[in-house]
This record gives sequence, C-alpha cells and structure tokens, in this order.
Amino acid sequence: MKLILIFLSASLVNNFVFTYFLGICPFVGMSKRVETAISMGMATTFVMTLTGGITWLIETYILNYFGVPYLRYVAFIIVIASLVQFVEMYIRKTSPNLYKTLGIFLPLITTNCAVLGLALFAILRDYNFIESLAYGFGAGVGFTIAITIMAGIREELRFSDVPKAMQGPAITLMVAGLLALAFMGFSGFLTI
Amino acid sequence: MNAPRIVATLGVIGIISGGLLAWANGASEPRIIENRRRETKEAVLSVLPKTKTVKRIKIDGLILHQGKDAAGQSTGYAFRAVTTGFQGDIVMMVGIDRDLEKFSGLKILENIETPGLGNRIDEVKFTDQFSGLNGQTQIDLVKNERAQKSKNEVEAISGATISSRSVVAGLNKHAKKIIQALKKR
Amino acid sequence: MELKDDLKRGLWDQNPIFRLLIGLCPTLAVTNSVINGLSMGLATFFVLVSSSTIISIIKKWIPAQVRLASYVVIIATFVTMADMFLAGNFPVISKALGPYVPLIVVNCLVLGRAETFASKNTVPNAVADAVGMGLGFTWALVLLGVIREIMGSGSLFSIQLLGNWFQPWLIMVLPAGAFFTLSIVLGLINHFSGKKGEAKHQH
Repeated sequence: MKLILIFLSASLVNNFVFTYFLGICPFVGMSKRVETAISMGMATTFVMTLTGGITWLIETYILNYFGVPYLRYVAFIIVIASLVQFVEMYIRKTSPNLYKTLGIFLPLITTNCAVLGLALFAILRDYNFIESLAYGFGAGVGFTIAITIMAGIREELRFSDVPKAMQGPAITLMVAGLLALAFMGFSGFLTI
Repeated sequence: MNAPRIVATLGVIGIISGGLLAWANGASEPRIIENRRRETKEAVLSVLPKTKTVKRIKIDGLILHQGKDAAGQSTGYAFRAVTTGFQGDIVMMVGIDRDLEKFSGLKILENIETPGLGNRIDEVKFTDQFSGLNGQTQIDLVKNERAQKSKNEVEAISGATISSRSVVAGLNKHAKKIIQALKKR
Repeated sequence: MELKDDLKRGLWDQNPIFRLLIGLCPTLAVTNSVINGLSMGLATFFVLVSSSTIISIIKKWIPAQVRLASYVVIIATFVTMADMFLAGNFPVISKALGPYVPLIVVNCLVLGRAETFASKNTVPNAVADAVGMGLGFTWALVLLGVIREIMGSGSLFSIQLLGNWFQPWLIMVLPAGAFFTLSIVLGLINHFSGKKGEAKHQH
C-alpha cells in the first residue's frame, strides 16, 4: 500500500516537472515530437529507477558506514554518470533495437536534474531500498507523462498562430504553466 | 590511451576534493548541529509554556522532549509528528501538559500546503485551538460552526478543510500512543 | 578589450536564463521570493566562478577522456562547500532552498561554461566570463523573484509593500505562476529586442 502511495505521489501529485521543476531542460528541449518524448521518458524512467536503488545502497552501506555523508553529492553524481555509461554500453551490446530508440538520449540523462533530485529527495524522506525503487520508478513515469503530454500539445501548436514574440520557449513555458495548473487537480488525492 | 595518467588525474582530484570537503565539514558541522538543536529547542519552548530547559528522552523507541521550568519542575512533554497533508508531509511539534491529559500547544514546523489556503494551518488562530484540548480522546473537526472546547472540537480553516483535517488526524494518530508510553513509565 | 567583452556577455547578449535558457530548474523553483532568488543566484555565482577558475588553471593536465568526470567532481566539491556554508550560517535560507542547492551540481550553466569556455580559455578570460554569467544569472533570478513576490504576496524582501486592499495573486507563488512569469518576461524581451526566441536553445 505504501509503495502505491509513493508511486502515485511521485508520478502525479508531486510530479517532478510541474511541482519541483526538475528535468525542465529536457522537458523543454526534447518535447517537440511525441515519439522522441516517449523514448526519452522511457530511458529516463529506466535510469531513475536504478538510481533510486543504487544511491540508497551507496548512502546506507558506504557513506553512512564510513561516516562521510558530506561526500554525498560528489558520490551521487559520479554514480549517476557511470550508471548512465554502463546502461548505454549494456544496451548497445545486448539489444541493438532498444539502443536505436534509447541510445542517443542516454548521455543527456546525466545532466537531467530530476535524476540527482530524485536521489536527494529519497534520502531526505528516509525511504528504504524498495521504497526508493518505487519512488524512482514513479518519478520516471511522472516525467514521461509530463513530457509526452507536452509533446502532444506542441505538435498541435505548430498549426496555431502564436504571436511572434511568444514563439519558441516562451509559449512552451506558458503551456507548461497551464499543465501545472491542471496537475494541481491531483492534490489531496492521497490524504485520508 | 594513457591509462595510468587517467587514473592518476582522477585520483589526485578525488583526494584533493575529499580533503577539502573533510576540512569544510569540520568547520561547519558544529554550527549546523547547533542550529538544528536551537531550532528544536525553540519549537519545544513554543508548545510548552513556562519552559526554561529542554531534555531529550527516549521511551519505547519514541523520541520526546521533556521541558522543565526555572524551578526544575516538569512543564510537560513535546514530540514531533508527521502527517500527510494536501500536497505532502506536514511536520509539527506537539506539547502535552505534565499530567498527560491536555495538549499545551501545537506548532507547524514544515508544510508544503497551498499558499494562502492550506498553509494557513501554521497561523496562531488555528494552532491555538489545540491548547487545552483533551489528548486522550478523539479530537473532532467542525466546519462552518464555532468549535466547542468542551466537546474537544477544532474549527477547520475555510477553504482548507483537507489540510486542517490532516493536522487533526495526525494528532489523533500519534498522541494516544505517546501518552500511553509516557504513562507506563 | 577582450576581457570586458567576456564579462559583458552573460549580462545581456547571452544571458543564461533569458537568452540561452539554461539552468531553468532553480530559476523556476526558488523565485517565489526575492531573498530566495538572490541567495540561489549568489550560491550559483560562487560555484560558477570557483569551478571555472580552477578548471581553466588545471585544463592542461586533464586528459581528454576524463575531462567531464573531473569537471563534475570539482563542481560537486564547490557545491557541497556552498551548501555547508549556507546550512551553517543562514539556516533559514538553507531550509527554504532545500535540495535546490545541491542541484547546482547538475545546473547546465555551470558544466556548460566549464566545458565550452573555461576549458578553452586563459584564466583571466575564464574568470571574467564566469563573473558575467554568474551576475547575469543572479539578476535574472532577482527580477523574477521581485515580480512573483510583489504579485503573489504583496511584499518585497518579506516587507509588506501593498496594503490590505491588495488581494495577493496566489497563483504567482505556485508552480504554475513560475512558468507564466518566465514565459511572459521572455515574450516581452523578445518583443522589445525584435528577435525571435527560437533556435537559441542549446541542448
């Protein structure tokens, strides 16, 4: 039950993009077409789920064990960067098809702040191993939902007459604001 | 490829970075701990009237803060409680009087409720209602009518029923457990 | 004078937020009040200037294969120090900014300047560029913070400016307000500088 709550909270109620503003760069940059958006979302979800688990292990068995929590940021960013590298190499060797869809997006994920943000939030909330995994997965799914909806809207937006000054990122952010309002409808979803 | 040089570079950077951070941590950690202690103490003082000193105690794995006045008499106990609000966790400090019967105060420490609506739970007008309520029976939330202290009632903030209800539910859930643990002692 | 150009670039022509659109996560997240925006701007400024300086000094000795890894470690080190400093001396601000301070590590602005500028230029130029970019980032955050705090709470630096007649626009301090404010400011800038915002986005 708690796992479902964590999942729903991370994906809808406290959507990473619309309430924490994490992962805005890829959200704005990669949301031009629905197909790319979905691939990007899947790749990110995959990395985020793994990150949730691995950073928990690092925090619990290395940083806390040796009493060096102040090395957390350095350790986490190294872990995320190498994780992304390993995932890329592994997918390239085992599944060329999957690599074709996800491959080019993987390197971009290292600097997606949603990934590091997820690791920090999970530690802040004292999640255990399984909960961290669920949190990572939920956050990834939330990111995928956000970026896919955005791409769908932007595909339609191409045919509309946007004022010249608002073209480009300005109108994208405006739409994101409206989506953020819509996602506020999920608040109170998880309360007693 | 120049493997030894790569390893050496990363090693040197790693060692320098680790050393710098260990030094910075040593310089700032006492301050950070001091800040955190002061913060907790201020929260406890605000929910336990007349308190001068605060002592941290542990009962059945629960962490409590015992307050004492200038004469060394117990002023009651305070505990931290977390509850799920409209948007996320609400963290509060709750005070119980020394007879373990009534709440002596409540302070909202952290919340991410909607600004202007739900986050008004941290206003004194709302939190003051809890002082003097009975801690051993259920607290009820009433809407659009005046709350009666004798009936152990609290009036919800208009427009923020869910946030108000979360605070009450959090109290109902935690207080009894804490009071029972304290009584056993 | 080339140094002056490097310094000026980040302030307007290539302002990280309004022109390059990088580092948007903290920009949107912490600008619900001026003080938060200013603190975030200064913390980023510190990290940016320190890491750019160090990186331009040691660039010769870093093998190409581990370039990014080394930069990231250096940046993370300075971020941790900034985080500790805030927590130790300004606990209230540190709490308000929360996890957004550590997230400077992945702020595209910092790594971006390290990779595209500091690693290719002399130390004075790199410092000038970092100072310019850092100031450009800071003033943009302060501007957004001013707009959102006045409209959303009727105050500035937590001092009440507008009287009781003013009904605060709550939406401005909510996440949606962050998107709207930045969007409208971008639109205005595009309108008055007569340029289209498209194709400036770098990622």
